[in-house]
Amino acid sequence: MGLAAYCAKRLLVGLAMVVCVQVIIFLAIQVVPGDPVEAMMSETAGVGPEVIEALRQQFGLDKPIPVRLLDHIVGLFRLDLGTSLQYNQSAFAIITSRLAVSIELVVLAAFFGIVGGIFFGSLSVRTRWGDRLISVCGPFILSVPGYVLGSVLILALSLTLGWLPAGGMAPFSDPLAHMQRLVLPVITLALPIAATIAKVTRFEILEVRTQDWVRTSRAYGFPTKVTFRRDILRNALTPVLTISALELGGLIGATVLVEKVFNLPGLGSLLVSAVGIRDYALIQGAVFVISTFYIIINIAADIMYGFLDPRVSKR
Amino acid sequence: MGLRRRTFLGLATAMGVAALTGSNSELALARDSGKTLTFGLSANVGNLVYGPSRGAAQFIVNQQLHRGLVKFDENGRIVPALAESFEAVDPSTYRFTLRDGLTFHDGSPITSATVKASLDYLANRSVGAAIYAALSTLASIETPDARTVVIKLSKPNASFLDYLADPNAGISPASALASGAANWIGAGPFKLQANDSGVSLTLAKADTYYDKDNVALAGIKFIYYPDSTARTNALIAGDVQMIDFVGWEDFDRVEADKKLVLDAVPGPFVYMLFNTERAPFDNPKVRQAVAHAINRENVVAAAFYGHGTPLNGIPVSPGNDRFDPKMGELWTYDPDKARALLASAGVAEGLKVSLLTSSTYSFFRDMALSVQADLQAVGIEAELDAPDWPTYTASKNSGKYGLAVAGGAPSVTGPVYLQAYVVGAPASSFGSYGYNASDIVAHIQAGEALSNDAAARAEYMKAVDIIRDAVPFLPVAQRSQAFARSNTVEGFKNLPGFLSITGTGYMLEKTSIR
Repeated sequence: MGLAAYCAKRLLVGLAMVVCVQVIIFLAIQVVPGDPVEAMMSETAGVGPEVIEALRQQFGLDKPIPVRLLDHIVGLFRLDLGTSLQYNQSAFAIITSRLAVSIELVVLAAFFGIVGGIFFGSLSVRTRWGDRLISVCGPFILSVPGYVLGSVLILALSLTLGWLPAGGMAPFSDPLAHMQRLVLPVITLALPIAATIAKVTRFEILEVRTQDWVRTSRAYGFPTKVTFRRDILRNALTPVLTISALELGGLIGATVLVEKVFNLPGLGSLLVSAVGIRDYALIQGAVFVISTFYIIINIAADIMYGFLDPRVSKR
Repeated sequence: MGLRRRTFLGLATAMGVAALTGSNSELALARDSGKTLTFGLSANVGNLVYGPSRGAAQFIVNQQLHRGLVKFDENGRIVPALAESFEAVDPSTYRFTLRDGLTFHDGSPITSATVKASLDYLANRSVGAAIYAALSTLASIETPDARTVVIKLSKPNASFLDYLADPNAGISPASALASGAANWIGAGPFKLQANDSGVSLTLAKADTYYDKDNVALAGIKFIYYPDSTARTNALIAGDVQMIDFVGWEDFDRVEADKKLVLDAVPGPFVYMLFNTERAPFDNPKVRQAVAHAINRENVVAAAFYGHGTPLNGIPVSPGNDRFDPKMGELWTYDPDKARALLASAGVAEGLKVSLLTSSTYSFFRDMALSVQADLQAVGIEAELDAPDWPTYTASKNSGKYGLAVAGGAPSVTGPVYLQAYVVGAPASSFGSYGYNASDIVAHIQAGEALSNDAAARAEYMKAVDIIRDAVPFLPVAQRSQAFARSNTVEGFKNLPGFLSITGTGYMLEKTSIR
């Protein structure tokens, strides 16, 4: 099987997985007790079963489950995720606006986490104070839950010192305010990634620097910095990149609590609130986006393996 | 000598950090000079929909964008709004005269026909309008000329004007009168300027508003803060100048800050429901026993951090002449009496019941835990069932419980509000499952038909006497409902009682920033 056929096969499997996830989620939320219309009307006085039933018909919730499932799957291919009952808006429009916030958060946190982790991991091998910093701060950062870290940062930098906003999001049209509001959540998300990456980087550097080619490089008389950058760090980074990809994959789910603490309108908090009121269109849409994200990362990884190791695509 | 790369990067970073941190207060100052109020709102209101009640946050936004025939003033009284004047022709007929030259934000005119179309739409049962209970008795709406509206009801309703002041009863244009239609264009003091979906809503003062000369703010920027702690943090940090629904756990933090003002009033109430279709709560004596078993002080302490008022009877709205103080004195905390009542009902030993609450709201859960301990003390073993809100709602509406915790925020100040709470589910989702309240409703309706307050009060008291003995629902405590604001914000007032939720939003048009 050639590489093109291998890629096509992976894409088809990915597509089938997206549909499967949607069918499972659709059926699962039908099984969970609680009706979206009843929940929506729970604050209106004098609502009886006739009103509930009339509204169910209005929103198409009285149709049989297979019909609604088919409508939903067909809608997916047209990127029509339905209308959110809670917000009275297109679910697709809501999700794309929230996705932008989540992606921005994930990309910035991953960037600073990975770059910072590699920097401090390298520093820990090359300096004594760097080693102590990683030994003391690494376990501490990893042991503190994100929402605690976030709350402490708000208390210190926003409420006490007044340097940064305590949370919320500003539109892109106000870039300074927008960036101000991202500083603390990005730090909260990036620190644990940096701590993990720093540990792995440190371990790999210590491992690689005992290799023969490093000794050879030194024997040739290359400067220490050149040997470190070219022969040690570069070789140590392969497993670091694998860990980084895993961290990136997990980050989109890990943002939920940080979104809550910093009042960020991201995809994770949207999904949690949608489940809380049985907003079917939003639940299915958010799961569609998140599952597609994971599946695309997996497909990309599979295809990369195919490029890097031709034996994989021949299996 | 040129800058070294590392020095340059260091300087650039320092300048970036300074820009990101140092200018926060400057930005806030710049906003203030424009007299735009930044308001941390407790929920994302989504795309406004006309008619149904979608919670307190949407009420506040509705009251800025929309205006009805009447509204509440700072003393909780009904005053003219789009109507220049109004009169009760008889107990079932109201005549409104509209102000001259009224228009919506888009410039389209508001006439008596516009008002009729709006109210006819809200009277359609399938819309699920918040004021449907009042409009269900609508007999006709006549529009003899472009500025006169005559509303006739099939039976008297002394609280009809209160319903018309409901935040969900603003007059809307024809484009909003359809299922799923967005309801952004209104006749209120502010108009929509920008909607940053899920983040904020920016409103600007509307030149079309009939009372625009008395609106001090240039605009209001609502920023969504669904998390209570994050909302309070934003106020303390100066990110916003005002917030709604201050969490009870944050009252002390706000009060400790000299730059902030906490405006708390007794607001909505919490109560217990009974499944009256099955034993043991089909027996009024058992319901009375529960009424005497619950220590309301403990509920206030556990659920509201002490920020509430225990209720020993039905909650009454301050300033409404139709309430009798005796209505608030129906049951006392008396565990011995509770045990005696259980004994006389024949269920003194080993009574086990299910107690439905919801894990979605911490005060629901904490109230249930407090009630559970009190019931245990009189020999009732209550097993807690605490699902999320939709499951709780479904269980409540279908009678899958013995006892249930519930919350109420009436939209009218008069005793007619009781109807929604005494009529049993499934007919009314606020009531005890299976309870037949026809005798109570008959007295309330008779009271509504009377124009004399004293005579009406006597009629309502007959309804309350039945409530005391039959306990169709059991009010437990009135919770403190608070707004908090910077001390530079003036002219705002949190209306006490039920109006804290449904009337306070009207106060923003009188608000200014010093």
